[in-house]
Amino acid sequence: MNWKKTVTRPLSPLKASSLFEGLEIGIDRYVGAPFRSHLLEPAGTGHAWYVLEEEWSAFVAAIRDRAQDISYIEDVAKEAERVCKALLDVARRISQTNHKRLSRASLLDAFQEYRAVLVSYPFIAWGFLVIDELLSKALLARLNFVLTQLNRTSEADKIAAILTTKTGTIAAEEEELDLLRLKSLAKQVDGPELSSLLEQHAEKYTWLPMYDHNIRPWSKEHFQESMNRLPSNVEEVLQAKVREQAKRKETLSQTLSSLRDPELERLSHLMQRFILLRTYRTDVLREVYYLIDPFLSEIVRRMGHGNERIAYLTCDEFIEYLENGSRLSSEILECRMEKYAMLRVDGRTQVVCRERDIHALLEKHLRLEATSEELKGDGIFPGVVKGRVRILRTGHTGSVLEPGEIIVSEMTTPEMHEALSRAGAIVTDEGGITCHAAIVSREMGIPCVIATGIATKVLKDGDLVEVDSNAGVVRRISE
Amino acid sequence: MDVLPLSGAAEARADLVGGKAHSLMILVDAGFSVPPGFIVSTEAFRAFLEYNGLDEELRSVEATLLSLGLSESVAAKCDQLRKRATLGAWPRYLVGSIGNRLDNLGAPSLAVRSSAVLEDRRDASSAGMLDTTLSVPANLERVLEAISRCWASLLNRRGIAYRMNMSLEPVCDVAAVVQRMIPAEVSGTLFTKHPDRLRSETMVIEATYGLGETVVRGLITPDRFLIARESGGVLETRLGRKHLQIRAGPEGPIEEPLPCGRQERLCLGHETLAQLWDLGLRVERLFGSPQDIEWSIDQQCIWVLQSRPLTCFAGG
Repeated sequence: MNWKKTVTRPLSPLKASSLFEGLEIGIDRYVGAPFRSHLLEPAGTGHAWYVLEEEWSAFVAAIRDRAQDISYIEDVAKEAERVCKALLDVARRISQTNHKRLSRASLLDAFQEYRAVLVSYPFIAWGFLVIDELLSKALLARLNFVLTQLNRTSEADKIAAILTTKTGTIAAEEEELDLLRLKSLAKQVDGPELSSLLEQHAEKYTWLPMYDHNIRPWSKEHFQESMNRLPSNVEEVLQAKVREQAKRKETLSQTLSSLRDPELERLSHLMQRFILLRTYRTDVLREVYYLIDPFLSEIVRRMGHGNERIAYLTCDEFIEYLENGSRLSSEILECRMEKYAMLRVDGRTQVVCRERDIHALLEKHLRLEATSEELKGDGIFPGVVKGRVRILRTGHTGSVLEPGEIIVSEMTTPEMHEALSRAGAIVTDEGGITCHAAIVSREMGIPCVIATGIATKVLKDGDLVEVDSNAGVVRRISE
Repeated sequence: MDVLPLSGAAEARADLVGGKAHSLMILVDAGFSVPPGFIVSTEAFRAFLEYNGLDEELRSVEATLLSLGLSESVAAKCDQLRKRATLGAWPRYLVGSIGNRLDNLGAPSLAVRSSAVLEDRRDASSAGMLDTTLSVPANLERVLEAISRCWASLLNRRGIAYRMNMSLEPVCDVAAVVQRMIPAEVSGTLFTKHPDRLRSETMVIEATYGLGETVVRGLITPDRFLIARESGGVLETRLGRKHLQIRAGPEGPIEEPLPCGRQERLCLGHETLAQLWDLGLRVERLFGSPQDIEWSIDQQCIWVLQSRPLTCFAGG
């Protein structure tokens, strides 16, 4: 299998499994180019997501083909709006039922209903990746054509920027405006009334951070604190923000009317719609996760688990329990909460969590040779150093590093600086000879091998290695 | 002297604009394509600190750092000051002058970078120690926010530790450079001399699609081109692993997978390489020493985003 790395992003098993399913079944329905295979590799705070090279190409080609016709892109926008609405509808309906009194069979019906809508979502998410680019190309091409006719090509950059700048507001901005209004109102109302207004505000926006099932909603206290942090000249700030928004809309409509081209107007409106949809669709998912949380909590409660474990079950595992009562053990879920990798092939999603199993899975699929004693990369500061491996994940500072240990990381970041100064040598997965790790290695005079591709995957904490940066090689050596 | 144009290096005091801005001014004066912008000076930086009651505290922190080093308690104090600076309020007159410059610039999207006043040293690049914010929408408030974040990052533990480690002042003055954001198609770095002494007759160009953050941070392995300094001939090309790109979005940088077909292709052709080679030599001549240059290409031209002396060469 020819895996292609897409994005690196933390995803819980529940969220990932539903996306996998939608990318296979949902996308097949829309454009007949399904992603049947997925690999999610644990990597520090994020996860690298692999799909098959040829499936990715087929998907891009399928959309490119259809999007030649702008009305297809308009249809996708319409469809995205429809799917978002349907998702919110089903989540609201589920949230309003009294789950505690439902039989397992009724819970199953509700879950299937939710799943049936959710399966359409990934098409919007990944389809946008391709459509965005095609749409901006079409828009810019039309703009250049129009400006050439009008002899105004010198303004191309400026106008392109106006057309591609967001003019509408997204939920996070609405929340900020509402909070400003609330703070401005605070001077006129008494304590209990303010508290109840804040309560309403919290209720309306509590879902904002819920990017995944394992993220908790914001509490009233959170909003209270953010309100306190707002500047004291709220009215001014509020007015400035509202003015700014109005000005952007105004600029856009003036620009369009000065160009007088219906086709450009059509493309620009579509662009604006997509800019908002990009955030709106993820906002919808957040709100949906919030709404169905009590429902999912009830299911895992019946399985004998606490609601902190919701995120660590897959869609299939929810269904299996609801269909025939099979449950996952606490040990497995605990283990997944530590670390996991996921694989979907032949319509089945598999989660592995023990270090040994994760390693075996990645080894098999990413063709890592655990037995290979030598890694090759680019040597930076010359030297030969022996030491023990310390894997540092992105975002970690490496305060645990013992002097002389070998830092092995995907890439180094400025946060690791303190640790780097204590390291015997540095080894990275990616990077060029002009990147941060390389510059630091030269400045500090620490041997370094970059761009090994797989060091963080084949080496483990405590492995004894020899870093030979003259040859650009890292070897595992026996004790 | 709070807000200055990004040109006229001869008249500008380096301690007012910081090292990065100063070298950008020199480039602009010499006719290089540098994204248009302006500088919010170290005077504005000090006024901002004072306005928020942070200057005295910063001085006492600095004294503690110099005498006792970076202990946990002083680090915690730095974190606290950093948070206060991030949320700091802006003196009205500064808001006015920055707002004017912003309007005159008329750029839809901006990049806000730090420009610190540090001893010009060939062995300490301070690479990545202060925060840069890219693709900031042209909204005064968002720009001010990005500037305060950039200034506040002076108090990051990592930066303080780095400067103390390299025997630099732990706390220094910082200006901010606000420039038009270039929607780059291809970006990268250029070392006018290969850092490996044995290859010092070679120039190194590393590049990828989109913004150069992926190259600078080492998120990907870029395409690499070795060019003969003397002739401009391409001595060696190596295809990188460019699995993702960062591009300038309307509300901030967007990280996404690189569209298919591009990963397998070198992102620069011979013609562009020749232009970069020429650019590299001219910048080096201008500054009189080997340079580490960051650049971006859009539909218009090759833009120089930064140039600084190359820090120490391998083995030496």
